[in-house]
Amino acid sequence: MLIIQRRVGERIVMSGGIEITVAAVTKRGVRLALRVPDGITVLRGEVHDAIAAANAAAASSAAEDPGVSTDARAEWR
Amino acid sequence: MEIAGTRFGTVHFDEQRTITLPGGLIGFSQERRFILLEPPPGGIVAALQSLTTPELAFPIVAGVAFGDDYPSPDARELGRRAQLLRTPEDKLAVFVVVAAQKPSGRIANLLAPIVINIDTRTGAQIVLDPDVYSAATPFEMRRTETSTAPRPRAETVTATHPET
Repeated sequence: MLIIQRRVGERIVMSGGIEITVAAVTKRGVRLALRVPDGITVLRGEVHDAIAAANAAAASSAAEDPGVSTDARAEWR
Repeated sequence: MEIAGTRFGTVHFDEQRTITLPGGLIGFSQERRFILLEPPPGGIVAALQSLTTPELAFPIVAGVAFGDDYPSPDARELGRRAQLLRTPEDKLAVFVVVAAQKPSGRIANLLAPIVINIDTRTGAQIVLDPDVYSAATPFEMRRTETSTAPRPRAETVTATHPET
């Protein structure tokens, strides 16, 4: 993992036009300002993890869910 | 074309109807090519079958099943944000990933619907406001007993609205 020390007001610039600036550091945490191009998704880590877990649960539950069934399926047109 | 080794057996499909999610699904970023498989007779749960990993399929339900006000913002706005719209006339479909939850319930990921441009066959899993929607919203599903041409319908699902 890359670790970079930054002060308030300093930036990290990434490829793809992404910039992350340290906006403030308080007792409650670090406030980051992000500049990202359209089409780039930025998620809080816990939100990302919740969705990834939901996707994984869906994929693994399909085989045992009677509402899904493992009968042959045709392409949905 | 066909893909073997799926949980539905060997599935035949039209390559022209392949659906591409350039960003993959969240947590499954390498899964980018899919086909849609129809619900079983009388059912409403379709499947998004990976063409990269045959054993991987995601149960999905049409977003309309969760009410006329789902999703918010509406599909067109989501499509615009995700740059899915080629023309203003492009048709969009919204699907919600669902999972069985032991012992007998189901949960729906209303937080991150899959929006697909039906005309370009391109889509994305789009994240809505986590203060409004949950990734694990309980819902009940009633099977349609008389339908011979099952399609997801609003009246077949009672969706519990997301906790706020």
